[in-house]
Amino acid sequence: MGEKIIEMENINFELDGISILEDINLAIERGEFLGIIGPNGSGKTTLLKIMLGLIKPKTGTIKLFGEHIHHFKDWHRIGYVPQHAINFDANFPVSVFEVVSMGRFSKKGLLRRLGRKDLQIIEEALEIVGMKEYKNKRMGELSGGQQQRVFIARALASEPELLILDEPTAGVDVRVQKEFYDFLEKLNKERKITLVLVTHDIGTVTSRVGKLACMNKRLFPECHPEEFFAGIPVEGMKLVHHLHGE
Amino acid sequence: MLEILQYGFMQRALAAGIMIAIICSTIGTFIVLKRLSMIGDGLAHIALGGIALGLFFKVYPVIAALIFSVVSALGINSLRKAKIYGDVAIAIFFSAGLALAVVLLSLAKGFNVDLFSYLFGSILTVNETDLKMVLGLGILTVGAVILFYKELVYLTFDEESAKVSGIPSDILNNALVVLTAITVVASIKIVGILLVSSLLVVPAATSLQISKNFKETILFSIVLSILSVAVGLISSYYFNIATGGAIVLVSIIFFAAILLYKNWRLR
Repeated sequence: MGEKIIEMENINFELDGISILEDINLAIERGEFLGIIGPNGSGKTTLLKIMLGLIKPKTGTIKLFGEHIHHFKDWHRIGYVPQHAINFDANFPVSVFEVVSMGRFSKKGLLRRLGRKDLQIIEEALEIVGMKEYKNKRMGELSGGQQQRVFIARALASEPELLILDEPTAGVDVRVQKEFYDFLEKLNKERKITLVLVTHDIGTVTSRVGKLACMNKRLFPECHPEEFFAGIPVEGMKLVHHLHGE
Repeated sequence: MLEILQYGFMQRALAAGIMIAIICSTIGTFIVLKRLSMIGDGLAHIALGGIALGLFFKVYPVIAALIFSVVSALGINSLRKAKIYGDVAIAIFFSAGLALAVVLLSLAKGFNVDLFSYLFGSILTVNETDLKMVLGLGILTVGAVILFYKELVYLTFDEESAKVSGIPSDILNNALVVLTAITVVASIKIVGILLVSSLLVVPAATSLQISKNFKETILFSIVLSILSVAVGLISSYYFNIATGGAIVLVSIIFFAAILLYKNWRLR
């Protein structure tokens, strides 16, 4: 048994009286690559936000790296790649380099400027995701897939032990998705980064992650998504499924 | 042409104007990108309530306006946090400030020219006290932005990820609106309550058209803003027109020119 990096127990969450998450229990060990799959509205993003302390659950406890979330301070150990394809403002005046450098801020603390070592780590992160030659470009000039890689570089720049990705392949074509999963596999195997990935896309993810959990308000560990979601009429999922089934 | 700089009132006007240009465009960049462009206008009208209060009770109106706007800025932020839309939160405080001003005005049966100068600004009557106040508030604001620059940029770009990385978002969001309130009050004497928000919004909006990154946006915005103040001030002297209006019109001309240039180049 490895060290438990995330422990969530008896998590319940509701919004305006409607139950969003029910009785979630989840433990993630160091080195795992966990995929959580579920249709839109199944509570995946909410689960991640609770995991990261962005929203408070109605009931339940969360521990990060063995520490209760209220006392947890080492946020730089966690890299978060939010669902950006949807809410990123293309007109925001920020360069690739500026976005990735944000990844260093949590480690520096308030009032400290970035030093030479930080710049080196930022360059490295850009190199890992293959975006080094774009570092002076404005974010809005990049394609969705490139932007996604920049956000991953930002997460990597904090030198995280755990990387949490929300729908990282949304809006990215199938060929790039394959490369992307190769890349995640490398991070997981070579850099020993624990990965948690959330997606509604049944296709590629199934064969690429170490462990798979299915989600629909409740969390079902080690499931077979094809069977699990067979009876659930969700347009988004079926569509994606067909694309990958070719 | 530079003989006008021999006059003491002109030197004070230019010094105060440049400081205001710097802080308005810096704070304005964050405000515009946070989609809070109207907060400047809101806080200025709230400040009017404070000024009326100050004139009514015969205390230095700017101090009353400052306290009033800072408290209201924090109020606007807590309403926003309570899931009331940003523009509604601003509108509520805006109305309260203006209503208070109108009531106090009716009680006092109208004030003298003083109120008029706050509404439309009177940069040419900036005295030593005003100048010290503007420079003091300006240095405070610029200093705070420099100290928390990287956190403010992260928070403006992606609030959620900034929170996850441990940046104290509530404190910094409050700090930003308080700095906005300070900037607005400091600028009232220069361009007047009715035009304050233009100085916050227009140079930043212009700079956004041409900048590649965040730092550039702030720097261009400062340059455009200082140019607007200088050109506006000097032309108001020669053509004998209202200075606040002249400054804002110059900044609007810059905006239009750059927008046209950008569209022409893209074709």
